[in-house]
Amino acid sequence: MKSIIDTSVFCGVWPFRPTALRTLEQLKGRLEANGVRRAWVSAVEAILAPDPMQANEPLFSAVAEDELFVAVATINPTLATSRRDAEACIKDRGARALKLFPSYHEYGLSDARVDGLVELAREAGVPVCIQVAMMDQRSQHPLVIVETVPPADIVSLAGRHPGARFLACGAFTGDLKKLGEAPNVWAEISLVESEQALRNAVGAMGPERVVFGSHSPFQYFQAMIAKLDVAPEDVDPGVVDAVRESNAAALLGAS
Amino acid sequence: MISEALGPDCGRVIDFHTHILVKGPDPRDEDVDRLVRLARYYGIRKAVFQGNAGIIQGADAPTGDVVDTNTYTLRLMEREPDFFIGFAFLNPAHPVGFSMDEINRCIVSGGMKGVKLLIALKATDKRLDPIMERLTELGVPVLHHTWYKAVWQGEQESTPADLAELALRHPEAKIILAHLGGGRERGVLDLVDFPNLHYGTSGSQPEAGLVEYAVRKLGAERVVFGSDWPCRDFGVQLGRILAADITPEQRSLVLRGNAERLLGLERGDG
Repeated sequence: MKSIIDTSVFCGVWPFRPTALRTLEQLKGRLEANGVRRAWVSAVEAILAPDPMQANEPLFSAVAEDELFVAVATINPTLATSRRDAEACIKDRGARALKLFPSYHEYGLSDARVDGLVELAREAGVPVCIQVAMMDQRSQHPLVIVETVPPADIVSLAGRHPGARFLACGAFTGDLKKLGEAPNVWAEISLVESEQALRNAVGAMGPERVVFGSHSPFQYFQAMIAKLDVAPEDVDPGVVDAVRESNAAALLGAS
Repeated sequence: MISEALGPDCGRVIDFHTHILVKGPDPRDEDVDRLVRLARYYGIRKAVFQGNAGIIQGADAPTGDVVDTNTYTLRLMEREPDFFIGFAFLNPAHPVGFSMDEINRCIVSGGMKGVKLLIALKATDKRLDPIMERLTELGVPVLHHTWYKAVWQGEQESTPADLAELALRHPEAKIILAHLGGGRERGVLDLVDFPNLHYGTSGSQPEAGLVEYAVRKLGAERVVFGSDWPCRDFGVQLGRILAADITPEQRSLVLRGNAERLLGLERGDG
């Protein structure tokens, strides 16, 4: 079994859908059984918590000594202490990436506070993950309709910070062509699907900026990994291997 | 690899939901070849094909477009008779006589095995009744689009509850709802009390837990694999079945056995 870097894993309880894998131990079992050797994990409760640090902190403590999990800090830049929190997550708590949820935290990527966080991430050498969507908009709870993040806003942000690295998480197939315009934006493929999902993603983003993401535990892992099961005439096996592992390693800055 | 994970079902899967999204009556070789090649790569033996329904979905769609798309399907069946199972696309807003003529041309004479209905009229509309009565008489199924949408629900787009009402009017009809992933748990519950309603597994993202939920609530005999290719990826859609916490016997029913029964096919024993 070839090893995988999974750039999109959540741990915790999501109020809109009961999931079978709620603990790190459960997630770890499922991921390792499928060949995942590194999993970028963030706290799902941080998305709706008044202060994301309430969910970040316990996650970081739990994964501190773990070889599988790469800690990702959820930061809400509209909060007064967001910059200080981001610094602490990276310097003191071992976070290897920052993650933003603009639609859930109600700000746009043109907000100057976002630029400040991105500069902090660039200086620290960590990527900034931007969650485009958590789920199909049609399937959301009718009282909680959250807009997706426009890909053009990510491209614009990336253009203002050419030295920073960005990962678009939960982008849809139709977003990829636009995202591909920015050379410092990567995309994970958990919500990307079309008649040939991987072939089309690589065609839109190029072979070096597509990375594997499972959106665990919300989606069947075996359905996600099936995107890498393609005929050699459709996607070069070397490109598939890069999507499986090395592109994400380059994005993170180290494996 | 999907083909390995399918085990004894590899090469025997029946996909109950495919399209080629082009207009006109003439299939292009490259479109057909790609569908067949990809399906076979993932272990699919046969595919239910239902024309370019997405392009002619409105209540005011011209009858000529319906004739064209059904002719397209008939030509596909001639080209790949061992692979394609044709379903006639119908629009129940059209005159009843026209729909009956299409049923005769496509199913009685042309060898198609069922009908696809989309979003021209809600399933609660009585204009569906003559079509349903004729299909019941012929013993062939209807595949009907359904969804519960928090946003963008079409005015005439049926929910699973609308199909339950249709099933009440036509308890002997064989009805398959498309898009378990669109109706989700609420849709499954709508079907529970109607044994002639089956759920096709396509629709939206492959959310974990949904296939086993449907199997648990409806029984494996009422859950039918469909990919909705090319809107979706064969591998991903098969992956959602392979990942589900169901028994190998239940999985075989979902992947092929139920389709064989509903379509009156011989078992694909290899």
